[in-house]
Amino acid sequence: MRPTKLLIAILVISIASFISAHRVFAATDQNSVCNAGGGCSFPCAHGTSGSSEIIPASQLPQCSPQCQSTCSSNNGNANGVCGVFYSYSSWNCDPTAITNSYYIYDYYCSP
Amino acid sequence: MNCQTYLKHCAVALMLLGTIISKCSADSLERAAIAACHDQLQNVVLDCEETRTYNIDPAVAADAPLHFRQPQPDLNRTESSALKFSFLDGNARFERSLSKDTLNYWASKGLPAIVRQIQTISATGRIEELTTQELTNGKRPSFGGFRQLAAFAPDVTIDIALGLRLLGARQWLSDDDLSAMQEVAQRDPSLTILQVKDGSGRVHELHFDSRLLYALVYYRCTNSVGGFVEITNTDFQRIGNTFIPGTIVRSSSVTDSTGQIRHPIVFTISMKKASVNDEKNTLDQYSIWWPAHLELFDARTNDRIKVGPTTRPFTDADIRTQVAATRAQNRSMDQMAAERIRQALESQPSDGH
Repeated sequence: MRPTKLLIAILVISIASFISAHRVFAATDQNSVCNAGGGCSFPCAHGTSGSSEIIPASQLPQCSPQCQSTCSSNNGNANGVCGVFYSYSSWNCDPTAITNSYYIYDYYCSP
Repeated sequence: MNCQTYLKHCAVALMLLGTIISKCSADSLERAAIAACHDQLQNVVLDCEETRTYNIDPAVAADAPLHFRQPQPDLNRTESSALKFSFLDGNARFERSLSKDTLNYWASKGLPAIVRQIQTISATGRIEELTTQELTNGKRPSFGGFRQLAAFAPDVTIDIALGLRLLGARQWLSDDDLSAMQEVAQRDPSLTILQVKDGSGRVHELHFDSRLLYALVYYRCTNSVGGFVEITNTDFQRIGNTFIPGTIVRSSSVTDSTGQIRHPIVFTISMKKASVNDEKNTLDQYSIWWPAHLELFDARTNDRIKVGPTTRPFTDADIRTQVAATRAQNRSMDQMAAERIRQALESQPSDGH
């Protein structure tokens, strides 16, 4: 190692000596998507599908079966974003192989 | 062996030993420098613009399920949004606002779009999310809620580009993770390349440049069948002793239906403003202030929470308190209803049977 490289390394180490690293922990979750008839499906839950559809928790009230009774239809036109669809070129919803992504629409429903 | 030859052999052995010791300490210093750079990134706030350029294989699009009789999205299109990313010791905040051009694009097709989304992820994996979408009638409803992290959305890029997370990983990268990676030999003396294979068989390769105080300049994730994503960081700007990329490009390479290599979605992130060790980047920035009168959904317990008349954050303790109060109130109402039915039945005249 060149002396300048060593010097830079030591400098960086000394600057960072007071900063500690932290970690984030994960728990359970599933990819899901609104079904037009209500509820959600989990095409990637067992890692055997070639596609996954992810919907944020904040959108779940819009998709939950109990909300479907309050849905307002607009003559078949999409009137609410229900989730985001991703498709993959390999199994297990492998994020290295996204081949498509677009909004999924559904009725706009309120809890 | 004469004395001269013996001494010569000893000298060579000593030289070799010196080289090995020197190499070992150099490697560990490089690792330490990479870890130090990684530590500097534990407190960052970045304002950027993200552009996604789509070039979708028509065969893939033809197979995609379309709900609700929705039209086929354009195979070649560009979407852009303003992205603010904050990170503080394992807490992350992503705030994305769709650009006016992209909003107009969806509106011109008579389709709704997500206008704005804020997502915070605590160090324990608690997610808060507030989404606002623009409907075709011009209304902008918001949805909010809580859930527990299991997987990042597959298109989240900026944290990977900074070296805070590996693609497909559910945890932030730690100094220990970096230490455990294998170093790959290469010709450029200014580069240090680390490599690791994850549990899903993906190989992650990270290139750090000593000329940029060991900032991550290139990342590549290759899956078990050869498909890969690469992220290239360029146009670095120096903030204190940290180099932040001015341009980040993420591109994946997949073989399409015609056997050609295609890059279905290319992400380009342009840095507008960056700060490191910002005093204003405090933990309270990682709690969403929920808009008044919004009903939130807690996907961890399937509870609904009312924000109430004022804009406010919600801790888990706040949620528990409100849920307990609502349940107590419901129980009380149920008891009152049962009592009323009982009284009504008792007050009915007997039919004589």
